[in-house]
Amino acid sequence: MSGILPQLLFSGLAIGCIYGLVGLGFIQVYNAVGLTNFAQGEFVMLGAYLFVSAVVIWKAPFWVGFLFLLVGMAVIGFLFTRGVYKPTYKAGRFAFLLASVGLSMALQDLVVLIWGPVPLYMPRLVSESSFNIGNVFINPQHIIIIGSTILLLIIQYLIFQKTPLGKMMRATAQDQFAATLSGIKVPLMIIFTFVNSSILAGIAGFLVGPVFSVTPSMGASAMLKGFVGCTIGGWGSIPGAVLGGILVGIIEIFSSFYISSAYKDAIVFLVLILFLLFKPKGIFGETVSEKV
Amino acid sequence: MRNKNMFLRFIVGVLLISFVLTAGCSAQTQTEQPVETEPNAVETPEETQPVEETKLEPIKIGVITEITGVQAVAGKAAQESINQYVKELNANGGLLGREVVVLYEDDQSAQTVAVNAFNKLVLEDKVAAILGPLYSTHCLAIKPRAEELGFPWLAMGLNDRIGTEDDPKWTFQGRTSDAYTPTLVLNFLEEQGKHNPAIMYIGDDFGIDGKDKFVKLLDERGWTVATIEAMQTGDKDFTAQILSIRASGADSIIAWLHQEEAGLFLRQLEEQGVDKKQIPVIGNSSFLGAGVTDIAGQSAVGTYVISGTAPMLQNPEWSQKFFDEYGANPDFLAADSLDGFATIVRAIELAGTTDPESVRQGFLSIKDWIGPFNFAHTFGTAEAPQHGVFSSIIVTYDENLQTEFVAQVTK
Repeated sequence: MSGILPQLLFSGLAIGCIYGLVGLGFIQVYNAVGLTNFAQGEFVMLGAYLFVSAVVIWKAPFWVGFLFLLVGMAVIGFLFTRGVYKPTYKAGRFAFLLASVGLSMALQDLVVLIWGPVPLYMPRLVSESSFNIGNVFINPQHIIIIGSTILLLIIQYLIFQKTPLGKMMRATAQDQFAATLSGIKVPLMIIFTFVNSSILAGIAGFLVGPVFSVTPSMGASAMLKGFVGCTIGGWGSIPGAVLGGILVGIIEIFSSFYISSAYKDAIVFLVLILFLLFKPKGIFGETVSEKV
Repeated sequence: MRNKNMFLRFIVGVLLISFVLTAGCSAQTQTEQPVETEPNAVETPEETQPVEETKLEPIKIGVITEITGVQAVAGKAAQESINQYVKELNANGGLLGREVVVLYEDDQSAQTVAVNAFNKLVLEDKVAAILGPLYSTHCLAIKPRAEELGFPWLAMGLNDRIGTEDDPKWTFQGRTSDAYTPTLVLNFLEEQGKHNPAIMYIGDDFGIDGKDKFVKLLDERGWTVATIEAMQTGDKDFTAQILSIRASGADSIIAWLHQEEAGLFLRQLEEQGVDKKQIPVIGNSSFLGAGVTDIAGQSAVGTYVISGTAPMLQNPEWSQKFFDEYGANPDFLAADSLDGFATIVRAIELAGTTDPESVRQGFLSIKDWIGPFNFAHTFGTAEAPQHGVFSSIIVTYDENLQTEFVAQVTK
């Protein structure tokens, strides 16, 4: 059967982009405050639910739904900073890690209480029918996912490299003490970082919702794979997070097809272990022994 | 020191919030419902009480279901149908002249929690009988404890080990077990002239056992298996599996999945160009679950489903009542839960009292009893003493995504 290789590559790339976007949120928080937010996957899920609430339940136009998602995720990011990061940061990484894990579990149950357990349908911007190029079936939503990831990377690059806000956030990430001495309001920059990473996660939920369906557990797998992607790509590196995520997506789908679909997760985690053993800094990053 | 205190305060805070949130989830179901008037139950072991004294006390029946966790959709369906049924039952005089009270326990879609819930219902709440979870993995976890405690319960999982392995005495099975359905599926494929199916299964007890049975049966019939593909609960992308199926030359697909994966699988089959008219798909009852047609949309059209119940076809009157109360059509989980609960009520009715041994005998006395969905229940046969149901229905989705009758199949 022809077309298998490009089909696998295309689908792996699309799913990998989602892992990459989740990883991007991980990295931003890590770079800014040296912590890993394990509720990042649930932020993906919340983004999808916010959008569905607006567009499907309240029948708002698409753009209103998207705006609602952005504002909602910004508020969630702010609340997370005040409610979880601020009370725990002085207590060390373990306290924050524990709090974010606890929050992720609580959020899943909270979503069941509010929206119910039945999977929700999320409408798409593009046609639901796939089209055929050669013998490769293209899901239009996958093109949206890949294109949006590229666009978001460009936007993130412009924000961080070209705007004063981005420069202040980078300064905060590099050395909070020096940034404070330079007159930068470090707590405000940290809030911006969490807000930014929450919005990224929410957009990931918006992108993946039509493909995955919207369920309380939809973020859990993406979170785990995004984390693996960050480790493979290298903690601290933004391109590493995205590339790592894409690699995870591609490894997953290729191992499913060529080895066994029953062991695809095991194979992904085997690759993670190999990286930890032989290239602990990941492809682009720094030593990761402290992350897990 | 200040940091330490802050840290401790925060940990306590997070734990409290998590507790309140999760307790909030289960609190709505761990309370007794749907009782019109709050009962004044005296927590005394029923077997030690004279019958005269218990006459006015409510009969407590426990229900363990998936209210939170990845399989929470099952718990919602179970609660809705059982609540509606018990409300009517109590309005019509209750059971044995006593009010029926349902005690729900959330198994959080986890085996260990399911066992703890069973212990609580038996040892603390002192219920008369228990309706078990809809998922086989949880039922298999509960079963040894039920046998150890000597307490009658009706498992709603499909795995045949529930009713057969280790010769259970107290465990009954309320749905057509997997010992029979694979044969019925293959008979159906035979009628379609399909002898080279691909098997797609979910990687848990339910899916793996189902897959193993199909492989064994296919081998016995001298058929070939085009390919065997797995997915895990929570998986979202099945491109690789579908490509393998396409490449295998399969003439049909047997899919043994849970409902969220079922909806996604159907949609992705269509996205990957698999034509169900050429390669028919027959799935387990999950393919009739709530949300499947929402997720799959028109991709569900033409899918065959084998299920114990198809409520809209088997009991349209009840389905309408359900719709009027909850604003949505009942799915097979709601119907199966109602059927199971009604079976327990029947067993207690036949027992005439609520001590465990009498209720067990009540189950064994059920012979050719027609439940709410018009198929017979018989326990205590020599061949399958703990199995109560041997009936399945095959349906398909029509163009309007409504279920259409294909065949009624019995063992």
